[in-house]
Amino acid sequence: MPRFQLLSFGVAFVMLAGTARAQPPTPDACVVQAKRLLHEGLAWFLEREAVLMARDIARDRLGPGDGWFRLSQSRYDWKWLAFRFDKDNDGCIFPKELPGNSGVFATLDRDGNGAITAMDLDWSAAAPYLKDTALAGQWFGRTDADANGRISRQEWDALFDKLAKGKDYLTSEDLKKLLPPTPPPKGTGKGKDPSAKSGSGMPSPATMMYGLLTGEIGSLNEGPRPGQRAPDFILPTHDGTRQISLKDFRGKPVVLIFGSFT
Amino acid sequence: MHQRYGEYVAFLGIYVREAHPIDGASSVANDKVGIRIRQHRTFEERLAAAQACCGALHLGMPLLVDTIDDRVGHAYSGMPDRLYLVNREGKVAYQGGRGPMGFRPAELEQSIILLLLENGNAGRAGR
Repeated sequence: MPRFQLLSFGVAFVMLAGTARAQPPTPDACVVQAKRLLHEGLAWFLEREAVLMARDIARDRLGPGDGWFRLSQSRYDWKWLAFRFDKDNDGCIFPKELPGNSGVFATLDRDGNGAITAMDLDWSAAAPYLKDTALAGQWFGRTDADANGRISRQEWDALFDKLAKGKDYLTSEDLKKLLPPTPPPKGTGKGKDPSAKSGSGMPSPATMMYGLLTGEIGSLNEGPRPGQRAPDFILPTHDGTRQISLKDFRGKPVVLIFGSFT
Repeated sequence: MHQRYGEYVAFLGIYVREAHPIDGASSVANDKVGIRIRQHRTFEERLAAAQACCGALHLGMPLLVDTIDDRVGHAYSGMPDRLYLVNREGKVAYQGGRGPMGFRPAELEQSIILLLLENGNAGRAGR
């Protein structure tokens, strides 16, 4: 339970105890206070990421647009950047306003229109850039037959042949087939076999729930947020030649990449 | 990214539980390229998988292997994959969304750039 919950519980207890010295709390006051604490505790519990993930898995809401993965959080956002570099407050940062080389500017100017704006730092699900990227990714995945992260000339030709169906040209209607198919309607889940694959093509809800409980796709802990201290650790390297601790890098920024081969 | 910013930012990979073990939520894409790994039951199995990963991907950064009880993975809620940026004071500057959908190197790179701007190192870093 986070500290603020313990604190509110403690404050309530002290308040009740305080009033008890002067005047014992009435049964009604105790019930009201207990209900309030229970409500706050339940609200805190229901907002936990693991609980939200379990809820969405149970409801088979597992698609990319279903929002069961929480957004990233960064100390650095548009407000941070604009405060420091948008000196004329026009909502745009042009190259002359930003220190650093052209590569720095290009990385921040995500849409490449010559100015850094709030949209360039928008990574929310509604951002047009992400929608376009997701669409391109789906098209790419369907074309990359050997899933090696590259579309070879052969795969490209195979795609042409598949869409053209014997013709030596493609029409706009042919290209529409590259768009992802409409997913089946999401039902209430009643009567569904939980071991069957989900409507979005992902592993079955039962498999996903097992993955959540075993820590393969999530954790009861939500990890440190921006501003919080990064938990220290000491782990061996993959070749077993040394142990590395996070605090070895104090004084230098560190990127941590969590993942696995699969 | 490691090559672009490695002079100013340290990069550490942390090998955690398999995201798509063959005895769990297996992946067709992995099957196609012959990557078939069971969920690790011992630290030695995890170490072997990490070594195979490093060999196949030719990682240029240290790859650390988490304990079999996923101590560091749980501390950072890093499964199945996740990105963090820790500033030089040891505090989190960027917590990526949970992978796969939230695993966005381009988003991390923006935060790296902005951190370097804050530290005054952006002049020579980058492309």
